[in-house]
Amino acid sequence: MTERRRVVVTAIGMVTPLGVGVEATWRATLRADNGVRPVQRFDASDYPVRFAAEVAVPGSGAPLKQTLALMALDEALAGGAPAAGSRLGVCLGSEAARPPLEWLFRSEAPKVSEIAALAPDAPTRLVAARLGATGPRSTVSTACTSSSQAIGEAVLRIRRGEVDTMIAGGVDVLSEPLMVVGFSKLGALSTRNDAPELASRPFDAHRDGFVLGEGAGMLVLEEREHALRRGAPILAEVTGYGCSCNAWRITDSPPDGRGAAAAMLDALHDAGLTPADIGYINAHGTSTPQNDYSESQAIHRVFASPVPVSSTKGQMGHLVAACGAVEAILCVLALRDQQLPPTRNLVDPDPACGDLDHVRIARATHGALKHTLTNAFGFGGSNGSLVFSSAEGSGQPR
Amino acid sequence: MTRILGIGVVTALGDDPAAVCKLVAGGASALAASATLAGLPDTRAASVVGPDLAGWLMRKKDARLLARAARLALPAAGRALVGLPAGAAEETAVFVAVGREPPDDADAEPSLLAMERDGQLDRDRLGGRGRELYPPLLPLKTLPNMVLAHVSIQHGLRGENGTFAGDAAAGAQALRAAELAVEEGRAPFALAGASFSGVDLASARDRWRLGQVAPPGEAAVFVLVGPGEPRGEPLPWRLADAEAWERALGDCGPVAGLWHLLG
Repeated sequence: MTERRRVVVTAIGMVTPLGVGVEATWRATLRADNGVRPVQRFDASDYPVRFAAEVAVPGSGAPLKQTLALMALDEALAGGAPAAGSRLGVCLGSEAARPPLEWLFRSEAPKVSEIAALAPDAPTRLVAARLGATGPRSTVSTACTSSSQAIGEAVLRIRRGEVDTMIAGGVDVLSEPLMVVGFSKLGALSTRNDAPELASRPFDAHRDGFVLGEGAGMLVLEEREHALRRGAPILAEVTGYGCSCNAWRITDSPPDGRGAAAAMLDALHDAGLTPADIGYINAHGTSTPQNDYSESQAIHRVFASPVPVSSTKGQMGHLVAACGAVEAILCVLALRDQQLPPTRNLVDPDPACGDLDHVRIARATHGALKHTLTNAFGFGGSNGSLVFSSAEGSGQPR
Repeated sequence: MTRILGIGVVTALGDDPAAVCKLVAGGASALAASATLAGLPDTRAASVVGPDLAGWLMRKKDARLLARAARLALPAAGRALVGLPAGAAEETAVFVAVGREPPDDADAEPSLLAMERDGQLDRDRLGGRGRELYPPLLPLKTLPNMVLAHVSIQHGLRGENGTFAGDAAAGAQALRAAELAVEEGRAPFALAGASFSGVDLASARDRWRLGQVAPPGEAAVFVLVGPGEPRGEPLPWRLADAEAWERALGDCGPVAGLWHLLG
């Protein structure tokens, strides 16, 4: 039996509500800085929710999505772009952008470029064109699980030998009038207008919903030998991917967390690890009453003894189609720096979520952290989990 | 190796895969003037009548959560799954391809009208009366992965999954993902499909502006993939001819990546 091709992370880039760039975001995440503020992009004074986690980048809608995707890509490629051609592919998590409301009322037709930019695969096409990537190109649109599944899909393609390198990641822009209206009508958003900085509080007893965020995360994934041959820095290895469907209800998650547990177990199985090997879980932890309860039950089902857990959505809100990629990058950085990022605003852990080892201030692991797991669970019941392992053993640790 | 164990289709030329193939090969077309597209330079579309969801929806109240693509998908997926062995749903994978999900104008119309003043968007009304009238479940109806969500819920499919977005290539990607999930042992069976509806004014108008002059269509194709040797002969070329399908059923987006399976 031939050995499975191993997949490593050789470069990363991201733009988030906490900052432009990997190091800015990482430092702010470790400090548990706040990325949630009153909405700046439009006048939200009459809205039931008047805050969001916006990026400090001008623009809105589809053009901003494209800008963020390229900013994250450019950072990831700062050390050099992968060779163009058919051995390079792109797989991004992204959703269709909504046409601006003004279009419905203005007399002149939107430009062709404006319409084309709304397509869910517009960022994927843009990234592939920028790189001259003629290998496999796909766009995953599975709500909050999109970019987690995009990374998984990219890993599978490299393992099979279809490509040597994949650009994987995700992008989303959510601070838009109809998003705020729609998700607030759904009752999914925090309404803590008097203190937005306290609104996103995963696993806290007083959480009341998620905070709309936005951003982009890009990872350069390579077959390990390919990376070693070209002397690329290896930041971490992607060792496991698992996903599942809840097949429960459109509007909520099963209270026993079984679907989420299945995704985590699949990812562990794929990595050849046991739950005891995992040293940190970056939870989906949206700060909604249902998700955090359901996810905590899933963690208890999989992990017999407590594992350090945090949700970085406390700092930066919910990046939806981009959250899987950004949180995967945070797991890579946790392994690189041996630091566990905390959950902001977790003051009073919800007893209903059981006895979790919450990371409430950044925690140093002094070389003990070998494997991390990150979760992403989407509306409609799609679950994705990824396992990242330290570059140690992959050669040429940075 | 994998083989196709079941197939289900919903098209404007009917729901029987072999009959649809025969009609397309014979030059039949479902394109006809559509009142929905009134005002456009070409009002032709290939619209599906129905579909009848009786027997394909466990809870009738879920119907209000179904956008058009999900409505088309449920009967097609259900027919494809008829041969799924009992007890196998738990580990069955499901991969779906979708196009750009159009906003559900009918649901949102009262809200949108309430946002207008003198033919312009009035932002005060958007945050006020427009917001009050906005349908609370609309976000859950129009998310692109809702086709996958409804299919998995209705049939209890809990395995690996994914929603690919885009054109015909996305349909082919969904099929390939399903085949590989079975071949690589990650799922004993996998459902693959695509569902699309472009027969609404907003989408059709955008298509015209983009220079996509093929009339819009709507359809769903799902197949159940399982282990085994493939059966059958390669398709006659004309059945795999995308243009022939487009002349018969309009532009069906990602479903076009699966037409060749109907042979």
